[in-house]
Amino acid sequence: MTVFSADIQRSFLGRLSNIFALTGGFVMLGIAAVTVASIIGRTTVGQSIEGDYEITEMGLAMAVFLFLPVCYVRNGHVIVDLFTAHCKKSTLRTLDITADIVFTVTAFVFAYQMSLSGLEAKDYLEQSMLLELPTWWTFIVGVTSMTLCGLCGLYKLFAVFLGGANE
Amino acid sequence: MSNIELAFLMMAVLLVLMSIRIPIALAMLVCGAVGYSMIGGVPALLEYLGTAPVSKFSTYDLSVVPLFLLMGELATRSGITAELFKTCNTWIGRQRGGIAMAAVAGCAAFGAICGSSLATASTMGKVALPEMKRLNYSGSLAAGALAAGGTLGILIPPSMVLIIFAVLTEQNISKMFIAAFIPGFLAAGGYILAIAIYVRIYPNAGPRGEKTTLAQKIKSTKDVWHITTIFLIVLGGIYMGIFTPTEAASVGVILTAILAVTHGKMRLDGLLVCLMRTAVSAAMIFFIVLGADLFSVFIALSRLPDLGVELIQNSGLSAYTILVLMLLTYLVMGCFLDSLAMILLTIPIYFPMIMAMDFGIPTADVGIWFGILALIVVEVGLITPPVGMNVFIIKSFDDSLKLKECFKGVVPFLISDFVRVALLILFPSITLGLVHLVG
Repeated sequence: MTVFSADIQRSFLGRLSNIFALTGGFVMLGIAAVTVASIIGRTTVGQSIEGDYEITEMGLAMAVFLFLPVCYVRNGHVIVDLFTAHCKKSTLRTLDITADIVFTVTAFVFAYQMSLSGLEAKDYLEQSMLLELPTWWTFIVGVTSMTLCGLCGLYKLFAVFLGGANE
Repeated sequence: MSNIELAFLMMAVLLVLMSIRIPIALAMLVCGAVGYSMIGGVPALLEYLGTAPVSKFSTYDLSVVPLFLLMGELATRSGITAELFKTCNTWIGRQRGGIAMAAVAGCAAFGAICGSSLATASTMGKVALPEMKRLNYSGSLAAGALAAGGTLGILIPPSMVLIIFAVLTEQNISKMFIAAFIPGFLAAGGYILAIAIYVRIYPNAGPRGEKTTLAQKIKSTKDVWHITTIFLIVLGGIYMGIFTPTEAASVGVILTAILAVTHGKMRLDGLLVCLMRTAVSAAMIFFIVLGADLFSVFIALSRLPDLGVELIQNSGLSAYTILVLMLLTYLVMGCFLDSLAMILLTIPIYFPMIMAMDFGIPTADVGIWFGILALIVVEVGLITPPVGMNVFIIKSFDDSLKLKECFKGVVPFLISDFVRVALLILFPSITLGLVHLVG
């Protein structure tokens, strides 16, 4: 077993989050490219790319899910720190642990509920109108990302209780 | 407990959770979930949690959020801020306080391709602050101009807050962008005027810059042809109705990427940094959107907005009084909340009330007009204490700046903001005229 690092960014989960985020970033670049190609097609040969709306919608949802873990790992979520600015370090630590617990539970609840809804979408053969892209593809990405979010949350909590005590 | 009482209780809980460092998005999710399950039942809540993320995140109109974020990131890497500032400087730097004016004008130009205040303040700050220091500008004026100039990033389209407002209230994004154009232009003009008046009172605060010849002016203007082209294609395309916002943003991403590679010498590692920063900002925004959605579904279920509308109709207060009161609450909230969170939290309650009131202008226009007013007022929080993010960014570039002096420097620009808001309230046609002209 590798040494347990208190710094989640350098951990395996942190790196995995980075890969997720970059993949999502390239998906967005891809969406931009498809849309531009569609505009060029529309103006030159009078034919846009079929279903470019659907590609954008599905790609967007996947990209956003892929973005979520890295935002949590890098503390990207907005918090209000005005009222706690003068608190002791130990108090802040307790509050941050509370936030991590809430986040972890939320992420796992989402992952579980979305897996149920995703299976339902698969059973009912839900798909997009033109290209017939199955909706459950998005759910797979969503559930995976939410699970990774939850695991990152657990990592942070374990890091506090195991290694971070004498930071 | 009635549903209305539940709504008030959950709002109180929300405020408590937010003030103890629970991320805003998460606090809204939790409070929304508890409230929703108490009115609609737990099974309905679980069903919602299973489907809402996918359905919210695959909203076509929201695709402009990551696209414009990416465009802004690429723009900051393209190295064009230096040239923008230089161009503005050769034209107006000779005036008293001219460098500060040039910084504001540069911010306005940069804001036309970047939708973020912080990015605008920080990129322009890096370029313009050393120049102002060199010419012995007072710290107050330098910091104030740059912090206020930064807000132009979000006031001048593309603007993240405006996009979210439009999606939330089912307004047309293109129309909102058109409506924001003249107020944004007025903002830049108002800030420049504020500088002009300030240096008249304190002549030593902003000495004149170097003299430039007409040839230099023309040459420097030619140097910014690329950003002008991108601006014309992207926003021009939206204004003329050639592009949907998503199409315009896609074109913008590709063009600024090319610019960042050719002009800013961006390589793969730079692109990865851009993608990563986009990922963090986009995830932050979408997570808030998700939390706010559940919270606003709960608020709507509780029928609190109906009560609000009823109260207003029975209060005997004029529509304008209530509008001003609402805008004032944004100023208060701006002291501790982020601008996007303020919009998302208040819109479920404020918007139905606004739409139910009679301002003497068509209902369809009221939504657009209110959006622009709210946008301006929530941005004030970026330059006022105690949060004032823009001010802190500028201060971080130069250790010799004192925080007190920075916030003092912001005052003339705040006055300009308030005058502008008053004008926009009194004359809705400033905002709506262009919408009618183009639409």
